[in-house]
Amino acid sequence: MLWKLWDILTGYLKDSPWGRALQPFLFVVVAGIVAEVFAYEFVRTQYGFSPDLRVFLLSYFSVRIAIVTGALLALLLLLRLEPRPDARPEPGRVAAFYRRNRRSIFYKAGVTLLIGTCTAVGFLVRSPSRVSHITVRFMGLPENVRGEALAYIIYELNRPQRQWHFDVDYAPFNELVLTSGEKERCSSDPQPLLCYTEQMAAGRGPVIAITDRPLNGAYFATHRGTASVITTADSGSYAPLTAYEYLAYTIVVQSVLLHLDMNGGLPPDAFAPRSSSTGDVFQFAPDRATLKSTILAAKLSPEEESLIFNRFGPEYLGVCANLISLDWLYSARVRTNLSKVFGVSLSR
Amino acid sequence: MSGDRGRPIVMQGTVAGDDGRDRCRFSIEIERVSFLLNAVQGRYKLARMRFENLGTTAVTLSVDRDRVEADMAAGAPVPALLNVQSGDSPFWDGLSVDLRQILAYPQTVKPRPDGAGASPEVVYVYALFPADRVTEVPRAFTYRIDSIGQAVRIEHRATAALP
Repeated sequence: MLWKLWDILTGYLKDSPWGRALQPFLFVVVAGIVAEVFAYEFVRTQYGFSPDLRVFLLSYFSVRIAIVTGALLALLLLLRLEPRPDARPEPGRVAAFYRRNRRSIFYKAGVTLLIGTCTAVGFLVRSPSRVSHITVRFMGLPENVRGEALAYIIYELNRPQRQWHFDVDYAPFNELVLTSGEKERCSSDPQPLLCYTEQMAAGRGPVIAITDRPLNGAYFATHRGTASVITTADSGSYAPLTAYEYLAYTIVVQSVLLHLDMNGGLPPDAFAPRSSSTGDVFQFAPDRATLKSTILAAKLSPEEESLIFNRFGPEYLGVCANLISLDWLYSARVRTNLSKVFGVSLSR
Repeated sequence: MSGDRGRPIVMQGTVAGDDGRDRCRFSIEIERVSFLLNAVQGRYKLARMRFENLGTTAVTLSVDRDRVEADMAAGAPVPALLNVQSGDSPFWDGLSVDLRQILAYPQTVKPRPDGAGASPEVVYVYALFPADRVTEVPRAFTYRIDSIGQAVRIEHRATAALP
């Protein structure tokens, strides 16, 4: 069917006076469209993620194909406008050939270089960022959370993906380790735990700290720059989900936040206070108790998907969608390991 | 025997639990010559105390309320500087993060893990004594842990010496 259409179109173009000139341009455009379709299928099959068409068309994948298509079209057009040599070249005489075609050679080289540079800049501008690894530090776990069981869950987060990994730092957190300047700075900070975490993150990359102490003026978690602090102090709000499920979810969300913040900033309305919610991961929970609803139906909005896709690529987005769903946590293998080795039962 | 002259001095002490068995065990090992010759920045003599928690509950420590003292042969006991962060901040601030992590007074000593044959939890407490007041090897150390409400004497016991 498509080939028939192609035949009809090219047949028509052959017959028309301007058709022959237009044919290569049409070929490039069709090749670009075919490449877009293949790219979409590649993302779908390779990364297990079916992006919304709008998300895909705005993605760096699609934009890169469009840039290459545009560059080829521009090259075709500009090469056709090249100045003609005055006479045909004489074969075998290089110097004479060069003299006669100098303008044409410089024009072609210049046009190719210009378009190549523009394409490279376009590629660079739309390149996904590489994400960094994240250290998880136990700043104080509640009595119902076993450090080794939580560490196992964090190691499981490393298993299904190669995008980033978590290091668990077992050194107990001790305020006395801070320098006097750091201690003074943090004691005047409205979020001292976050300030301590920032000090830990300095020079070693992003850190997520887990504490059982309440946060000052924030529920569940707080984040700034390269540091995030998750608290289990609000356990009443996420019960009957266990602390392990809650921590697995919040660690993934805070990781994505850290990555976004370190690579161009958070979504503009991330966690902005509002009275309604559609349950998206980066939305403010108007009622503390609705956090468990968000965890159970965790999803990214199309805008968030688009942002993550373009910033880190489809593989990261696929991993992110998988991790926040917590399907890996409820898999038979993980559930059995948690139960038999650590005596931990999940809520569902 | 001549071999004994180079052997470090091992001082030990214990805190008994309610059941009469050892709840916490402490030991400080001092090599006499290096203790007398070395001083941190010429100002502090350093003693490392091994703290084993054999109990089933954690031991909470407090840098402000706990106290380590060196009992000298002559003169009053010399208190150790446990909170170097506030006691000597220029010295503390000049140390690397790793070193500060090691030297910082611990906040807690976890209980012995469940299960038969499980090793007790061990932490090390580093006590800095003013070098101008500790000019010889102390006879013993006294360690007061506020949360336990006891002072334990850590001293050399010939029968308990390590081989």
